[in-house]
Amino acid sequence: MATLSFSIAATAFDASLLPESSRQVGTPAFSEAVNAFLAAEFKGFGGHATIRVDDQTIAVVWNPDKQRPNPMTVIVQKLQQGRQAEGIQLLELLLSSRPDDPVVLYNLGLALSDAGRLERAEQCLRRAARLNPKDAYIVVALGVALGRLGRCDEAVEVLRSAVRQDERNPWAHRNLGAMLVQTRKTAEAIPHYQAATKSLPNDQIAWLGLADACRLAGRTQEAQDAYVTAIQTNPHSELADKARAGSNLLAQSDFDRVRKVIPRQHAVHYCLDALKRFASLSPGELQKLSLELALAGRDGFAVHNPDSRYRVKGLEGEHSGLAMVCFLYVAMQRMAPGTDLGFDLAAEYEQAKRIFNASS
Amino acid sequence: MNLSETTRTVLRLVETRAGIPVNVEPDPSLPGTTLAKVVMARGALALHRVTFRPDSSSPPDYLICQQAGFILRLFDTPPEKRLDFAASPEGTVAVEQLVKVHPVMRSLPPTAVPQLCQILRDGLLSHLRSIPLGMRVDCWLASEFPSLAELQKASILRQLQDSLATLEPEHRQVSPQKIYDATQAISAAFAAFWAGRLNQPQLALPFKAAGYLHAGQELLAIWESTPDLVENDRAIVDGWAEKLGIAGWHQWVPYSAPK
Repeated sequence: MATLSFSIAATAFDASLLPESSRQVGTPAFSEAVNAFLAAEFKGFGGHATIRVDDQTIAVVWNPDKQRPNPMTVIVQKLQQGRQAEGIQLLELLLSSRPDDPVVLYNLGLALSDAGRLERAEQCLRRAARLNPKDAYIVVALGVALGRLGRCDEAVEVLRSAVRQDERNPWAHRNLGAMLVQTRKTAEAIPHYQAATKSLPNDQIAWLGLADACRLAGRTQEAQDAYVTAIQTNPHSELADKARAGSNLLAQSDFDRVRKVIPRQHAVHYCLDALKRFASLSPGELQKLSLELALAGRDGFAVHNPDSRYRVKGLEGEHSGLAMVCFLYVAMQRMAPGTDLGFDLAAEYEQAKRIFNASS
Repeated sequence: MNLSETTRTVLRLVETRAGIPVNVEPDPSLPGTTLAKVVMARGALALHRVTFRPDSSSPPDYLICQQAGFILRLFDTPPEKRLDFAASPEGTVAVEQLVKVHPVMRSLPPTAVPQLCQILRDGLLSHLRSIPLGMRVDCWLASEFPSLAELQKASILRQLQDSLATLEPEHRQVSPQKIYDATQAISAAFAAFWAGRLNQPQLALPFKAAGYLHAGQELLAIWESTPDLVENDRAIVDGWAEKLGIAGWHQWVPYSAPK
C-alpha cells in the first residue's frame, strides 16, 4: 500500500463525527477533535499518520511503514505542507545535535530563505557549502538567497559557479536565468533558460522565464513559442495566467510595431470584413463565433507574423493573426461595446463602421 | 506493442464474441486523470478503439483488459437490447441552471459558461456509468485473470489517490454542490468497495471524514443487491442516478452497430 494523502476544507469535514461541543469550525476544540478523530481512525491501520488541522484545511498524509520515519523526511514533509515555522524549529533542534550535517544545514537554509529570514539562511547555506563543496544544489540555494537579499550581482556570480560545478543542473540554469533577467542581461539569460527547459520539459517556471527573457530581448517568435508551451504545460495555473499576460504584452507591442510599418488600412479592412460577415448573424450565432475566436486565441494570436494562419468553424477560410484579432475585436464590440481585449483597435473599428454604414 | 499473453487472450475473446476487431494504441494526450478509454465500433467505424495513457513504470495490460471488459458487457447483451449511454436534454438544462447560480460564474466570461457546463455534465455522467460497470468488469477480471491482480491493484490505488485529490477545497469551490456531492458519493462507493476487497479500510476514511461514505455505501448496496447480469447494467446506473437525485440527466439510446 502506498502513501495515502488527502486534504479537505475544514468546513467540509463531517462534523457529526465529532462531539457536539467541538463542532464549531475554527475553534481550538474543533481542531483538537478532528485531530483526535483522525488519529484514532488511523491508529487501527498501523503505519504513521501526519495530521494537520488549521482554520481552513484538514490535511492528512498516512504512511504504511510501521517504522517511525526518518526525522528529516518528516520535517521536509512539514515544509512541503507549508508548515515553515514548525519545520524551521525542528531543523534548528536537529542542527544542535548535528552541527556539521550539510543536509540539515541545506534544508534549514532553504526553509529560512523561503521564510524571508535571509541573513540566517545565507549563514547556513555558506556553512553547508563549505562542508560539502561538491553539491551544486547548495550553491544554487545560496545564489537564490543572495538574490532575495537584493545582492543580485553577487547572486549571479554564485549561480554561475553552480553552473560551472554542474552544467547539467537545471535549477542552476533556471535560477541563473532569472537573476540575469533581473540584472537586465536578458540575452545572456536565454541559453540558461533553454538549458533548463531542455532538462525539465514540463517545468512551467522555466518556460515562462524563457518566454519573458526572449520577449525582453526582442526575440518575438521564440518568446511566443515559449509562452504557448508554458500555457500548455498547465493551462489552469497562476503561471499560465502570467504567460497569457506576457503573450498579450508581446502581441500588443508587436501589433503596435506592425501598425507603424503596415498600412493601418489593413486593420480597417479586416474590421470592415468582420462587420459584413457578422451582419447576418443572430446574437446566438455571434456569441458562438466569438467563443470560437476567443478559444483559438487563448494562447495569443501571432499578429506579428503575416504567414500565421488560423481557422475556426464559424468563419470560412484561413485567416492571419491580425485578421483574427480584428474579427474578435469586432465580435466583442458588437456584443459588449467597450470590452477591453488588450488591443486598441477603436480608431480602425470606427473607420470601418463609417464605411460599412455608408455602403449599406 | 509488447502485451502479455493474458491481454492477448482477453482481446481475442472480445474479437470472437463481438465479431469486430479491436485496435489498441497508446495516447499520451488522454485528458485529466483518464488512464484508458474505449471508443466502441459504431456506424462507419468498424473496429473498437482502445487507447491508454503510456506509463513507463507500469505496463498497460490491466487498463486494456478493463476497457475490453466494457466492450464484452455491451456485446454480451442481445443486439436489440444494446444501448448507448448519453446526456439528456434535461440533464443539460439542469447543469446549466446549477452553474448559472454558482459563485464561480462571477469570475468567468459569459462565453466560457457553455464549455464549463459541458465539462461538469460529461464528467459526472461518465463517473455515473464507468464506476459501477467498471467494478463489475473488475470482479470479472479478478476471477478470470488472476495474473492481472497486481496491476489491477496498482491501478485501483492510483485511481483512488486521484479521486482523493478532488476532495481538496479548490475542487469543491468550482463545482455546484449537487454535482460535487454526486461525484463524491460515487467515488466513495468505489473507495468503500475496494477498501473491502483489498482489506484496507483506510481507503474509505477520507470519504468518511468528508461526509460522503454513507451515500457511497447506499450506492454500493444497490450495486450489491443487483445480480451481476449484463442486462442489469442499465438498472444499476439508473438506480444510482435516482439515489443521487439526478435521474433523468442521462438517457439510453439504441446502439448503432457498425455497417
